[in-house]
Amino acid sequence: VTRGPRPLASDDALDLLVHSSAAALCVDDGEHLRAVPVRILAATADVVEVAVRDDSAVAVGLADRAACLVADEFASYEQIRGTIARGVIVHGSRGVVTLALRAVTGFSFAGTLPEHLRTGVEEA
Amino acid sequence: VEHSSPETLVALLPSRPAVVLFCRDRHGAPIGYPMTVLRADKDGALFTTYRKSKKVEHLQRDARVCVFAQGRDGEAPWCSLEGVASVWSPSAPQLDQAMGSTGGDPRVPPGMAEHVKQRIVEGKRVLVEVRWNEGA
Repeated sequence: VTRGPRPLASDDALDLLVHSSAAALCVDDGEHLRAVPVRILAATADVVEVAVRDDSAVAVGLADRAACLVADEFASYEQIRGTIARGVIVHGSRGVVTLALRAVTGFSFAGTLPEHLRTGVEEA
Repeated sequence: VEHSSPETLVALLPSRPAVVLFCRDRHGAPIGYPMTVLRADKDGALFTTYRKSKKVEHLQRDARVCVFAQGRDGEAPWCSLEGVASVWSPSAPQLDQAMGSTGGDPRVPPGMAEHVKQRIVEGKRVLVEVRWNEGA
């Protein structure tokens, strides 16, 4: 039986986010969902600051809007891990965005591989 | 590089990029999920997830999505495409047709693709098919 991903402890989820080489930030600009690549500059359990790649204009004038930050790792099936950080933009200038976090969740696929795939023997 | 072009996504896929499916929760706030792309072309993209997952609930309430992709080193091209998602359960022949000839992923063990297909046909998993908006 395939099990779904397991939750990560909040500290581990935040740690994954902080050490991610690339993340995605999505904001609803009032009409559309806009997602841009970002790099994490600093993060605590309450606030995260990111640098937006390519100086995207998405960060301009979006204070008080809900946003979602996502980072994940996928070196192998068992090493799939991800963090979903949600909150509100408290400051957005060109190139840098500060997000007040309301919820940080993480998941991991470690230990979820079906037994018959782990051993390489197909079930009858 | 055109950041809103499906061609950018298609070109990125062989490098196993980080792909996130963003949608809206019941409050209308954005929420994203890392995903594996089963197939993508100029018209849309295909994903699979658990039928009982939260994202299915979100997509059935509000089908508007944004698919984001970038290289895992944070340096490669990136794209952000808007579209509309539909959630459906295919029969085995429909699944084969929908998936086409998708290549294997060396990061997952042999047999995983067939295992996932079986779960889709059994109805434990569903397909999430995104059609790009005009000019996405």
